[in-house]
Amino acid sequence: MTLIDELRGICGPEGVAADRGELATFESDAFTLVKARPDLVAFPRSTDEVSRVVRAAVRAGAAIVPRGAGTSLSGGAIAVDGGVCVCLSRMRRILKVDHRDRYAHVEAGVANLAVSNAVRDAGYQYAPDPSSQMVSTIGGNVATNAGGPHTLKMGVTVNHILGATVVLANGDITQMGGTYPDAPGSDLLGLVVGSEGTLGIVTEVIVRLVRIAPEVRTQLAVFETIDAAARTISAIIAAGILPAALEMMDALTVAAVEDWLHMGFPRDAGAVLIIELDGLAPGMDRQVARVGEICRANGCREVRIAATAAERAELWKARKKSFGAMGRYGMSMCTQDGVVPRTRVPEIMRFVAEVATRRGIRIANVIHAGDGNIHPLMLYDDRDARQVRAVVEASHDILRKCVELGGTISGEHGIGIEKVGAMEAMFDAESLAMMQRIRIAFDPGGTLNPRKLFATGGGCLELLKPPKGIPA
Amino acid sequence: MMEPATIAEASAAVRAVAERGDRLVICGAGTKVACGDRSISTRRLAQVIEYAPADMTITVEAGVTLAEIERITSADQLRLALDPPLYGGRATIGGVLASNDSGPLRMLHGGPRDLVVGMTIVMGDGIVVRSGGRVVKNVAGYGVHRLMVGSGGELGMIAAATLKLQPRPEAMRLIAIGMQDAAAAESLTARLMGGELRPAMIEWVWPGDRFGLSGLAVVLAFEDCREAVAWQLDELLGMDLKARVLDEGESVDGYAWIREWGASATVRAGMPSSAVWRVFRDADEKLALLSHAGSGCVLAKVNAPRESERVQSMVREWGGNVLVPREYSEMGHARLRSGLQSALRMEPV
Repeated sequence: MTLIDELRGICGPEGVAADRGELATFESDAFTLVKARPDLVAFPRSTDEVSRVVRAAVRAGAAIVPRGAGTSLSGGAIAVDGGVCVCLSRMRRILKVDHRDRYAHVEAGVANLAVSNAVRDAGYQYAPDPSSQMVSTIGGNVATNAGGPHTLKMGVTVNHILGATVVLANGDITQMGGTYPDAPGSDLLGLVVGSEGTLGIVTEVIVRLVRIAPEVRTQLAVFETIDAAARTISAIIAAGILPAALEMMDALTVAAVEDWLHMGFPRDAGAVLIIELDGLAPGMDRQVARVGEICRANGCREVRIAATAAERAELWKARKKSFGAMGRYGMSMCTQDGVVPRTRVPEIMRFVAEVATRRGIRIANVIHAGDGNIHPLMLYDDRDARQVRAVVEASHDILRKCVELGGTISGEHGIGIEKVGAMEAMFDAESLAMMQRIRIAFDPGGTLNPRKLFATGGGCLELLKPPKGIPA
Repeated sequence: MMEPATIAEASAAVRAVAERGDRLVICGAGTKVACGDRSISTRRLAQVIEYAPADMTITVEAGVTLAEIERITSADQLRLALDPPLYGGRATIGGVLASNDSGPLRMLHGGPRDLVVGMTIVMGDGIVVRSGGRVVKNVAGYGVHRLMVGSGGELGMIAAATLKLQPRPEAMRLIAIGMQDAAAAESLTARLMGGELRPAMIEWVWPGDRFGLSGLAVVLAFEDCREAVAWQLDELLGMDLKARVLDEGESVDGYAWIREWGASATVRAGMPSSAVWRVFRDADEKLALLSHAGSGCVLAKVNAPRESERVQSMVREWGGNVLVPREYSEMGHARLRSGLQSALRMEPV
């Protein structure tokens, strides 16, 4: 029996995609610089089917690439070596919600926001909120240890995962963690979170639910310079205030948002901050006023407080649609994801500006400033090989600088294929070898998501090289 | 016993153990794992490598005590929101991470896994490796620093770690509530877990005499700005409860007492928060129990081994895991665990 027949036998006739047209949808994810088509896409409906698909693929010697909604910004879901893409989009049931013990047990293909939507009326939420949350799946969020604008106070995905069902590379189904914290022994679940589909396929997840804050206050502060905005952030934190979110947008981003949404943002601002406080109502006015004072003491030109839920939604729309706003310039975009200690934000922003000049590309910046997580958004023409190369090189310049400043090469998007070449800037050879051995302990055959996370013969630049015989 | 004073010395000591073919036994201050003549203690790895208050992180060697971290961070109104017993000031951060220990703040702030963002590890062959980093948000490479949490020395030596800090809350107050029985305590806890108040800890104490209560006591802490703490205390006093608000000094002492209680506990278990009452329901005068009930952690002090067995079997019966005493047979994933040991160059246990 051929692999395709076997997979159809497991997932049903409509549960396998095999023709060129169908497969084209799966040739990339949200990282658009590299394209590679899987040979087959399987859409299992249960953990058991995932297990059987994995066994069948292993027997056939095919690579396995797990995929959720395909929103990876680092190419984590691209089938670099072809093989079987295991797409969890049909596993989208919420299996159980337990308010008393504050958890939800969901299948991996459930969208992030769908979890919060299911528990909101009871006053709960699933806290991590990546900008892709309308579509990105819990399974994908677990794979990348996804973040979002509210991680400063609430933490990232791993802080909200209690348990997972994982299909290992040999097809075994295993349970890690459970409905309450602290399983005995070393924390295998903590290792699997953020492993980008290289240690197993996460098929079900038990997520922690948290109470929604009754009071939320969002304000916009306008600054002449990035330095002044960054100083303000440090001052807010030094005052003992831990905002729910502290987001920064630079001049180019603000202008793009304003051109598109006409929200009355000052077009000549050097940087704006979105500062959100949440918690109980008593004392909130005092905290909001204190933040306003700190902003003004650090040279803020103007503070606008969202007076209504609608105004608050507008401010967040500006932030979350900022990448979309850039799209209006009719160019391709590539976003980076470095992190520096939050006190080094001014330095890294100056460096990003230098890189833009040196490499001849436009870079706009959206920053999870409270965490020091920068997202330089590079605009380029994807038909121009020279520009494509400049973008990749600029990315590496910036990521290496992040490491030099005491930070890291990815805060939330993952390494995928995009940043494998930068891993050696972050870790020494012994540490990388140790991680590779961990991978082999889980997946001796190297079947799961090959060529992701660690360089095994060429990184992103390698993949960008045009096929032999075609002049660059 | 070897007591290296630097990570380089630790690396050499571990390598020597490996070359002799001996089994590596690692301890901190010896509060949980007894330090024997064949063990390596991290006690003298006591360097604070980097304290960055504006970045709200601290990087310390494994032998730095929790008490020391507390002392350093409080100068900037910060804290490590991880509050297992201090063992009279001796507990080291390495020991806390390796034993996955936590305390009352577990409910709101998570456990060691949630607060450690980077680690330096001495593998079984003495080679030093790293994972994570010094920034709070980092997804580069495997979360080996999380894997090491709870590893109890079986995956190598934790030599240093970077931890996330948080602002110290402006105000903190305890309120002690007398309970008719365990069912009543569960009903209050369920109401709090789904209600408008935000207790920072929900502690069940049996017997409750430390708080002037004869039977089961539920002790709550509120941590927030002054106004929010005052409002929450008022709300609770408005409920029909036998409640007493502790003054500021009493609150600090009461919290320290609760926190340290686990240092002399002989059983530590995790279970669903909603099942904690079933263990307390069967408690009698032979047992002393304390639970960080919001996160389902149950601690017990017993006088006889038979009593310990009884608590452990109750925990298992109601869907929980016994964490102390530590049983390898209960960890599961034998193949993965031994694979991980060889990945970190350790001999299988």
